[in-house]
Amino acid sequence: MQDVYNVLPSLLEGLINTIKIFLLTLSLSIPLGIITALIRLSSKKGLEITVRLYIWIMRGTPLLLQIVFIYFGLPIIGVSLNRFTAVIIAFVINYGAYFAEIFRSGISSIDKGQYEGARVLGLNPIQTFRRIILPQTVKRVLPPVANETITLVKDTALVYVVGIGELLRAAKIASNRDATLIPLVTAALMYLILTAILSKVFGRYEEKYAYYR
Amino acid sequence: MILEVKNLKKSFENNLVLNDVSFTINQGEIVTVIGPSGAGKTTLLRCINGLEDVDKGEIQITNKCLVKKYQSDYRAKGKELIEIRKNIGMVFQNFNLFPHMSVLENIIEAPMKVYNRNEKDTIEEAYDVLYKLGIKDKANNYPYELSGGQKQRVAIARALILDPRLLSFDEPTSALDPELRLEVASIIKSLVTKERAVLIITHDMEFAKRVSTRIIFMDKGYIVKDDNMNNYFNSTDNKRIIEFIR
Repeated sequence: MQDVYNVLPSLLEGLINTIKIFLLTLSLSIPLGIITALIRLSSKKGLEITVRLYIWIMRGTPLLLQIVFIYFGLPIIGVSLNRFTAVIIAFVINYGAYFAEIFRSGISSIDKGQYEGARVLGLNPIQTFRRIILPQTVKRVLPPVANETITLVKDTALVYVVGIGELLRAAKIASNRDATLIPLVTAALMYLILTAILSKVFGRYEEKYAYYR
Repeated sequence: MILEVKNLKKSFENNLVLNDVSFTINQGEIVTVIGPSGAGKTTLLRCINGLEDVDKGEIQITNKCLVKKYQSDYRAKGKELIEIRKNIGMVFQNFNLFPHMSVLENIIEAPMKVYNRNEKDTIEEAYDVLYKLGIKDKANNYPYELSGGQKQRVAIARALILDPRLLSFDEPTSALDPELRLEVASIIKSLVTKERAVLIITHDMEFAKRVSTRIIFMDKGYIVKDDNMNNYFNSTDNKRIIEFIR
């Protein structure tokens, strides 16, 4: 128990960074995903191809590589970012692509009749999206969004590659220094608690939307 | 005149669906368009409801032009289109109710969001309409909790609350148990007023017989016969029709 107590301050410091990266990524990548999905579904050909290329690259290469490219690669063409900014950009554009695909499939799973029903009633396209399509999409995409969000918690560990301290890195350092697995076990518990909280939150949302089928 | 369709032409790629279709509907009429599948009935209804563009021809609803395409093209847009939409209600084959909204919310959505009507009055009106249709007790239910017949009444209520001059139905009996036909027929009859007409698309002859004042028979994109109800079933002038109604 004493061991846990000793490593706790450094782990908690790492945890704060983990949560920071998590929250920033989530709150920026979801709007990016919605916008990207809408562009992907629009009939603007040029934009649509650009978006497909973006999604292909983001999903087709490892996130670790993307972080490395943005932090170490961009300075070559004269764009230097600090580590934290670089990491957030990498995470946001990567997760934005995954969310875009989730939202796209969610939106296109809504029956065409819903659009027509709204149209004959006189609702304009924005009202139709906001009041008819979006609420139904949210219900359908909640499970995959929850999945992606939980993956994000664990993916935050990748930022070690540019030397940012986070939970797992703090635990590894402590583990190497004291030659014990206890810090790693503690870190594992912290991840589990984080993901348990998220599951709970998403479960609540799913319940909230369970009032209709 | 409530509806005027003139020289309507529409094809999908090389498939001619409507070929020079013209007819009018007046106040108080219940006009049924019948015919075999592929006759162009549903496309006709979708054109009238502005869900499908036309290649040529003209559609007027209460003397306002929805679309007019001859040498030059005209299509109602924006405020004009909304004004026209207000006068034509549509009850879809599978109703297209909004599943995330209660019955009441489904009904008050358009009057409140499109026509900016006062909430209190709209809710009161909605209850009146639901009462008339016999489903007032379902106001706070969600569509998934309703039977097919109840869903149809909600769809009717949703269209009716805007007080349209023309109420249109796409295959109103197809999603229902056969025993409910009679009931639907009497509901539809009760909706016609001095100012309103009803247009029904169906291939259900029995139902057409029960409900219509006039029947338009379509085949392969043409109107084959357009006559009062009574003249249909003792006429022998067209083989295709006789085949179909038998």
